[in-house]
Amino acid sequence: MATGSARYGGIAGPAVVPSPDVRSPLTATSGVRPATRSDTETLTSALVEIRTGRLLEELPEHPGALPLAEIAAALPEIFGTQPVTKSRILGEIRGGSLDLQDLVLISPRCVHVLQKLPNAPNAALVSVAGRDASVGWIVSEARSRLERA
Amino acid sequence: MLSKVAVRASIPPSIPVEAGILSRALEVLERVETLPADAVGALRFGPEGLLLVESRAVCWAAAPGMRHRLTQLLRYEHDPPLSKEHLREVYRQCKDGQLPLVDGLLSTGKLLPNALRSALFRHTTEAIAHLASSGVRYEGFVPQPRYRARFPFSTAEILAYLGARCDPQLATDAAAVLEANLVPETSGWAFLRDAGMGAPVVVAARGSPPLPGAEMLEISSWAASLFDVTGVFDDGVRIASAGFRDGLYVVAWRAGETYFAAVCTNRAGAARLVAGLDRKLMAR
Repeated sequence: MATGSARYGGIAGPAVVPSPDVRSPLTATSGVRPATRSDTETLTSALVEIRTGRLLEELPEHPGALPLAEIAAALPEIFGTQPVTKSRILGEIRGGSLDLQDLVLISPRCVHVLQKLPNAPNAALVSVAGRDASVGWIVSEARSRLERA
Repeated sequence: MLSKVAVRASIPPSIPVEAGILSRALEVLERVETLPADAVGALRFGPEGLLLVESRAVCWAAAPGMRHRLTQLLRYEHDPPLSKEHLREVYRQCKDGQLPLVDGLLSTGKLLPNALRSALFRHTTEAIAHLASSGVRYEGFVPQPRYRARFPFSTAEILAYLGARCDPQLATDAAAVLEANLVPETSGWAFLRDAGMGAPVVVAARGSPPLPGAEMLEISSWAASLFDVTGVFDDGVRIASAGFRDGLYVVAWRAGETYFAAVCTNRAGAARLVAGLDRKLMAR
């Protein structure tokens, strides 16, 4: 995946720009499929800038009722990059700054997977799926997409 | 005649009831948690207060005014209650023979190990609460030979016992949840978000290795805030599983008023815990 700053000016650190010759994490699959529906319909993903919660990609055409944009907006709070919220959410666990890498959130309606990009610390891959797929598949598929991001 | 459980329960806990005692008890326990891992000795508080510590576990604690408290607790761990004279004789034999009191008490056959542990635990927690309440000055640490205590108590379980006074039934239920769900090599605890204390209150703790109290509270605050934030996009979030850079894995979940958190030693353990919680909490 190419990097650049022109399209996402103002982002601290390397920007993430999908290359046309690499499958987007939104559509690439792990090869292990749930029983019904396509992977892209089951699990919706998008790259998000952590500092601002801004989506770095357009949402898929059929996001359904999954709250991906709302999750993106909450990323600064969740990953604690805001000075005020960092002390509120992460505190100083174990006497040092603790770096949240990934988070799985489970409700009766959805499974949300939030994963920092290992090579782009200011970006995260946010994935959401309904409960018609297993949590194991959702997390596995989300991790597969992270590897391709 | 009252059952043994009823008689034991009728002994009022000798723990001061006042605001701020949990935070001050936490300060006392932090003295234990910040000792070197292999330290053995006595933390002294004023002329009569002490905690005997071994490998960051509390073996015994005493505070001013508690001279006869252990006798009272031990008497009612047996049905009918043991006589004071019997216990005094055991004390004397232990002193004369330089035998550890725990061994002496168990050798009589009148006290089961669980009952003796229960009495020692109550005495220890009450003493810590009294030391916290009195604000007595910390004097220092006196190293001593290894105790090889048969019943060491973690600071986590002491903190949870004190916190459980907020709602004993809820604490009991929460302990059952932990026992039913925790996987091996996981430390877990239940907490109330506030309970009027302005900070999370740990009410039950299970698993190993036990965490320091301050760390439990920090993670509890983090988990509570996280559920607040997730409410913005999905107010039904009940389970959260977090991976941190230095290999820390935290699973948090909530059921009604009670929140839970667990620290797992590896991602596989966290995944197992989450799978079990998902089956039970999200039954569809």
